[in-house]
Amino acid sequence: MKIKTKVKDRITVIGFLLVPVILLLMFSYYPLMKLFQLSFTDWNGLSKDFHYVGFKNFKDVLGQKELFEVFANNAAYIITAIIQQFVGLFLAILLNSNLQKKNMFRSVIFMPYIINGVAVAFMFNYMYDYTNSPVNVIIRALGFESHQIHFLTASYFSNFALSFISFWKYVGFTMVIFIAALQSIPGEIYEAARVDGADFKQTVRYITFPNIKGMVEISLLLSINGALQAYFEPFMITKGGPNGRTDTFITKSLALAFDYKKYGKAAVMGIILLVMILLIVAVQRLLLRGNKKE
Amino acid sequence: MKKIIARLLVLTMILTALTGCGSKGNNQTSTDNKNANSGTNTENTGSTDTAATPTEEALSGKIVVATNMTNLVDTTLADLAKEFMDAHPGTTVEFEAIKDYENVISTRVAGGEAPDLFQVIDGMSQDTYADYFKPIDDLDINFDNFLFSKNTTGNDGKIYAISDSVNYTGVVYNKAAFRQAGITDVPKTMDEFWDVCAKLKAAGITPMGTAFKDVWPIYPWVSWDMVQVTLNGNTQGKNVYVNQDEIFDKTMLESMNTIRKMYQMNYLEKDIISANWDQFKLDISQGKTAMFYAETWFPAQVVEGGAKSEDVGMFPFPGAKAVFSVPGKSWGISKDCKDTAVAEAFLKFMLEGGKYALACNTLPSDKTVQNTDPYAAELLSYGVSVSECEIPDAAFTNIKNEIELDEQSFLMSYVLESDDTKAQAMVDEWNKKWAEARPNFVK
Repeated sequence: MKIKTKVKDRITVIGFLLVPVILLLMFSYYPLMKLFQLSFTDWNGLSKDFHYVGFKNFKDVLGQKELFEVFANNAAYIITAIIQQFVGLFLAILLNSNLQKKNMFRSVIFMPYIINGVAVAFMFNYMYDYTNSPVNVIIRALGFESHQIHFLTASYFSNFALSFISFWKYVGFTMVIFIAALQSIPGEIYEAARVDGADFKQTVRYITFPNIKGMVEISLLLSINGALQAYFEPFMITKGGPNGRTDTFITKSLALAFDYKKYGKAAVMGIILLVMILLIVAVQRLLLRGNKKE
Repeated sequence: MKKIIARLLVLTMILTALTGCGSKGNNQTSTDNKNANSGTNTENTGSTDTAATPTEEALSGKIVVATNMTNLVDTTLADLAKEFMDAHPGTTVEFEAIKDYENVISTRVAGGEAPDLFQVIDGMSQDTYADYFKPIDDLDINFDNFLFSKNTTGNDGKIYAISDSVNYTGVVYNKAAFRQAGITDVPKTMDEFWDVCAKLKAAGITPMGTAFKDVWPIYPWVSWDMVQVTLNGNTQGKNVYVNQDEIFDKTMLESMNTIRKMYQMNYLEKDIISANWDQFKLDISQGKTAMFYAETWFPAQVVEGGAKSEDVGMFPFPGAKAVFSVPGKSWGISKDCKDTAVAEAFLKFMLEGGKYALACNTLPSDKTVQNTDPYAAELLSYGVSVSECEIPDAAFTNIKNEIELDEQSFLMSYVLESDDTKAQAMVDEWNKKWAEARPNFVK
């Protein structure tokens, strides 16, 4: 009898696992293997067959330093992602207090996250238009014609203009993660701290932060990951221009694959990004775990 | 126990994997059979044709025609398919609308699931037509009646696809804006053009629109074939560059410098880096922007944007040696098409009399069809001859992809660069890359 229930349990477990595992294998690991395979070929995206070219694609990519210079543009997204953590945390603390109408504020701030990305890009397309931007219309109406804002310029600032879009879109999500973390801290601990005479700074330092550290780690990981993979803002709004000023690593690899038909090289760039993200995760884990031992 | 479960699991996995294979195998054989059948069918029809019997053998079968006109698939295109099916009972023609045509088709072609009739897409060239299409030399139409009928010829000398429509390049302008600036005649020379720009600017109108931020709308200024035909009347087009070491030569720079000069004189949009396509279309419709260098497909969009039809016109690029005619989409029959006879009949049906082009509101490539487009009529009324380019050598695109040249983005950078020496250095760099890569592709 005992064995039978055990078998039953196992069958249930396996039955439930089978579907997600197959889906995972089919849609995550199989494409990943394909990515590795493609990186050694000269596939042009159309023909049914391709040739293996060894490490040629790797050599080509590593030898083309302008492909790596675009990480400077990605840096703008990373900086924004870090600011996003602070703002998200700030909003979370604010909206976790006894603020009136806090549920309304929460939904308003979270709203951009559920808007379709293309719609967001379309909206910002108008927002960043020099003559028709609502911001500039207001500035003009107030009589400060000469102070109108050039949102998109040929300077590095354009990257921040673009990364602000993802900031606007995702800050609500970051906030929700932090609110969840904050709510999981039992109120008694704060009460006990207050009895012991801890001030606000000390409560944040010794209670809030250690308790939400896991969430900070996840949120930071998600954001930096997103920042490295940023593409849809430049892809939809600036097409990487002007002068490659807003190209990111992904828009570069998309161009390689779909414009120049170099799927092998694009696959190599995908692998490089994968390795970089793995490294960042490792470093981040090490740093945050190190803190724990203190 | 564990072992049994593990074995069961493995068995189910193998089974699931095999089910896939099994059905695939079955499909394969059935398609093979069909192929064999349709093969004999086509042979039969071929022989009856040559025997010149008036009664054609009844067609039967189903084809899928992949179009990029998503907005027309349920209206004019459905009517077109119905007309064909009514004339040939037993056939089924289905239009499939595909958004993002290039990418979807390339994925499907690579996966061996190409639609029966589809358009030539980027990346297919005379080197490779035979890999994707069936030759249509035997198609029962008069190829001489069609523009560009030889353009999609493979290296083997066979014709693989045929263009459905034609566009002519020229400057689209808002006549109301011209009137407002007191301009009565369209510019015929570059000097007159600069005068017109100055007058428009003085009237507070943006002389030339670019929709610069969206990059692609500036293509006429930097398309090799367009520039060669317009400025030099040279019908060799891109092939000129296959045989020379400079990709941006004097001719190209003449065109590129024109738009650069317009930028420096503030004749383009106020803040070109944020000038986008949707806003630009509104502006030219409302007469806030006066001109746009494009093709005959554009005026209809200006009218759609709210301009009066009689207020929109086109003239040849000032000083043009010839008006460049651009081939529309070229259609071919998939190599894997099973009902070739139906596909051939439908291809003939949709091309002759420009039926497909007219259904899509474009100018037919069939020369026997009367031109009813008022904008094209105006463009061609200025007495500049029309010219098409010879078949471009596949080497051109191959070299361009090899050196990863995106000419439109490059033009953007070139226009924005205020320093002439630096701008020239940018040109030199591409010329150097071109010269280095060219010998690998040209014998």
